[in-house]
Amino acid sequence: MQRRWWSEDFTLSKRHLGGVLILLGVGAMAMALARWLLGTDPEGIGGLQLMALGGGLALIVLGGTLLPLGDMPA
Amino acid sequence: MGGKGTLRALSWGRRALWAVALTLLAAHLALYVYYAVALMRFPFDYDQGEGFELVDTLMFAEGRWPYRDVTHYPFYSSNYPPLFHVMLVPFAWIFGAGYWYGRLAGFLATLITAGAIGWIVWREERARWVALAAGLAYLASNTIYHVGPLFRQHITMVMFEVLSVAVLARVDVDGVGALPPHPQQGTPSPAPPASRADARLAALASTEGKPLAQARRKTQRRLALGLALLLAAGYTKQLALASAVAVFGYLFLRNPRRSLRWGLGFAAVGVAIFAWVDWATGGAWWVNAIAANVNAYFPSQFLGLFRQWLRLHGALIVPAALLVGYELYFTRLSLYSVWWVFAVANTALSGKWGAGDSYFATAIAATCVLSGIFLARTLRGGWRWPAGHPYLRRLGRLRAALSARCGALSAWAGVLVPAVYIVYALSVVKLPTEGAFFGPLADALGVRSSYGARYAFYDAAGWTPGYAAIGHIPTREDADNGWRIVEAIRSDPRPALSEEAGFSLRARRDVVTNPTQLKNLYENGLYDPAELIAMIEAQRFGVLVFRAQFYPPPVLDAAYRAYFPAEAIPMNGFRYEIWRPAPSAEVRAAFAVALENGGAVDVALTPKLAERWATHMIGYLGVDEHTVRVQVQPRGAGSRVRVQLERSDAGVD
Repeated sequence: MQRRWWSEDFTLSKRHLGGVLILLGVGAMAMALARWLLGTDPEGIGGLQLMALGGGLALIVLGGTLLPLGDMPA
Repeated sequence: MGGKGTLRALSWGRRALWAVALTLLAAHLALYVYYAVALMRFPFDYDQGEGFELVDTLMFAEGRWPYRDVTHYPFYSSNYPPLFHVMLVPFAWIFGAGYWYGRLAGFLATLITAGAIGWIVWREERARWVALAAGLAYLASNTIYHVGPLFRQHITMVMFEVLSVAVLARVDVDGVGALPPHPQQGTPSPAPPASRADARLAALASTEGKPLAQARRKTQRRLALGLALLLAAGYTKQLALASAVAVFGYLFLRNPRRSLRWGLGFAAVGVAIFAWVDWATGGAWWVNAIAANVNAYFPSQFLGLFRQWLRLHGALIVPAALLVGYELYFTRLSLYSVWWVFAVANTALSGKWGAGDSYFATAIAATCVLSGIFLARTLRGGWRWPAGHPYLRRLGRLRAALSARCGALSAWAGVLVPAVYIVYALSVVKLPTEGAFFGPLADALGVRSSYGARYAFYDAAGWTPGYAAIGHIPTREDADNGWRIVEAIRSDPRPALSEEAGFSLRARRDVVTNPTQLKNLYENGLYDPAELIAMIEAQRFGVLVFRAQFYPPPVLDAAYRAYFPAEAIPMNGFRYEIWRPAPSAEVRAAFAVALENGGAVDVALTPKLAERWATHMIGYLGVDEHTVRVQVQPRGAGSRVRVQLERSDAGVD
């Protein structure tokens, strides 16, 4: 698997891309929620966190729609 | 016959619409050239901050770094990377301090960018008129119009970004890339080649022997050139980081190994330059170019600017987004699409304090590229849909219906495409509303100045926080008033503390402070203003010239105590205040007592200036102006300021 990933002709598929987008989306949402839960922002969820939550959700949905495309090159 | 008649009518309609679209876009270009020439002739700051970019250029021309310790006189440092200023050094050597060459450089950068956009569209789709319209669309944008011909580095960064993308987008064409899809990747791609580019690349995959080696060298040359241009963009302005991420993201999608190898090389060169500049400036580069750029963020500012961008460029954003969606689901992502996504995401930084609509310039360029490709491909009926695609299986009938009507759809596309550019050209209308030509034109179009009496300029963009309220043509009166400010500085032998550098440069005095930089550093806990405050309190400056008072609060507080606004001079729709030294600290203290108990103080000011100083002090000390009466009388060479207390309980039972 590792050798294949490092080969000169390996290219990422739509499924890989979908997975990456989902991870990024989860990460963005987790950071926004963590900042809220840890109370670093005294005013609760602010505009920046809402943007991160919305953007993260959009990335997760987008990534999910790419998963069925399987091995098509990204 | 009816069908033929319709097609003939569409053909005529297509030509007429193209004539209208290109005429409108050419009119935008003519206005842009007129505006650019007018700015090149204007001898002062037109947009705040231009003068400091000129100072940076002059410092480089003298062999000095503009990244300095701001705690000591002249309290100046730049916060931008050096390339734009270094490029202008030969002009500084030949012509000295001048705004015109920096504005000319910005203007030429936009022309090169527009040419590159048109070239990309033509190269990908071979559609002349669309390529031309795509390039002109970039220049027609309200944002590019008013930011383009400024002595600012931003638009040159965009030029390098576009050139880099133009080169790197072809890195797998006529060269060696990551195609064909890896055999172990499962089923081969069901998608047919998305474009001529992929088709040629697929053919090259079977290339062997010497041609393959040549192709490999060609790929490497393109990578090296494209990444060098990207590095140039980054060392023109830090904001190009998003384009770098987009490029390496794209290269990673195509082949992770190549992306990481070249990425390491790119990072090594970038970090080496960074480390060298930081070492050569004793760490001032890091503090001023990186640490000071962490500013307060206002989501509402970003959202306002984003909505404005959608409204103005919507006609092009829709086709651009459709192309991204098509590539995302039905074929491979091109560099153009990946770049567009990152460029649009990066506009979120426009919500920073001090940022603005110029942060959309890269997104606008990418939108012009993608929309041009989409519209040109639509025009030539170049869309291909992969057989067996999971999402298309359910839409088989629709696809069949579309294929059957391909000819008619192409004819309608011929009408639709110029119509898109007409809608766009009408969305981004802006023009001066005064003058022998523009006055009657504005009247005929029924538009009035968007800025009231401030200056004569209509801008369909409207205004939202962060949007640069510029674009008007500076007048002779503006230039004359600029020279009045210069004379005010020259009237005193001491240096001036001016919020804009141009006046000090023209008066041949030291340029003291870069106000917004001091403010940024102060708010990040990186600047102690004690020395500057001490100089202000000691009245070591002949005059202060304020426009927006973007200084650290303690500096402003010292200025309010030790100086007072003696005169206001309008220029370019802004009010420049000339502050002169106030009476001594003892007199100020005596006046403060008089405001509480009544009394009089003698000041070495003319009665007119004494009255202005007294009014300023009343405001600064927060005294209710209805509780005191101030009378000023001439006394010797100066004035006597007498304070009488009004009865504050008048009318109260």
